[in-house]
Amino acid sequence: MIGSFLDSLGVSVLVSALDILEERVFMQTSRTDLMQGTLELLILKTLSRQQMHGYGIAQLIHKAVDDVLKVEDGSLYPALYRMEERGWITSQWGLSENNRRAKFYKLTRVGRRQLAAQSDNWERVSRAVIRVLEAT
Amino acid sequence: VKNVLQLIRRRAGKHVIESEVDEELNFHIDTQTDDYEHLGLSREDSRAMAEARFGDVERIRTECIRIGSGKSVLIWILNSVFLMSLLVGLLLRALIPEMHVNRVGDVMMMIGGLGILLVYAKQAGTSVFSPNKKSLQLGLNSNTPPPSFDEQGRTPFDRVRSDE
Repeated sequence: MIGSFLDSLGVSVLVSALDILEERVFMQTSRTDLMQGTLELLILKTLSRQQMHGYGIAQLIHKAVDDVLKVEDGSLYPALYRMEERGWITSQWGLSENNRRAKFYKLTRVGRRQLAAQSDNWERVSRAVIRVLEAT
Repeated sequence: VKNVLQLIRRRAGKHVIESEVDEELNFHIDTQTDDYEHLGLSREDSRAMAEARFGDVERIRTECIRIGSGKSVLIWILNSVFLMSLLVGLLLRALIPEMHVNRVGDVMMMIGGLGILLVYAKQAGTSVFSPNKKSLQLGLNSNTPPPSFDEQGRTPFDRVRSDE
């Protein structure tokens, strides 16, 4: 409801413009080779099961996507930091299985909502693509 | 106020963030190296494989530090301007009873209020409002150096597996 109210005020348009401006002016982030948001979705889904350190997240994602998607391990970390910045995940230092200090990430309530929204969106997009492929 | 305090704290603690990022990235590469080593690779090959798999460490480190130490100066500036506008509007409204000044105060309060809402929406993540527009990086990097291949195109990991 809040979302549609803000949309009616044109906030989402302004926010998108702000995003572009921010990226152009301040963020020299690397461009993507895959559909945007995919990595975030994979991370959110992985963390929905349990809290985990970056290495653990990377391993699970690799195991899940096998060779279909080639995810560079390091790309995980800027995504994790950005997601933490947005409040989708929180982090705290703890001890790993090999008794080393590691940073563990955990999904927040906002993150769970985000996961639901992104999953819905992903399903919508993939259904649409499948429909197009089946039609042609 | 919360954002300003957060920014100051982060700026002051930038070296802490740097060392935390270093520790986190080192943990990842070291653990990956250990895992490769347990599979039978030499220490050097394991390290090389782990680093190749990780990607450009320096670029990732820089990006993490930048995000961790207060992502966007623009957001901070906008937040401050909107907050100031809201406060000045409130003061004008409260202290000066003249009609035209009151109107200026109203406009300033409206700009400040809407601006803060906008920045809040931005920080909460736009995808809440427009899920199909927001996005981020899946950082595949075509510049990633390949692990050391032999003449048959096998990585050290492949060689160990085939030897087994």
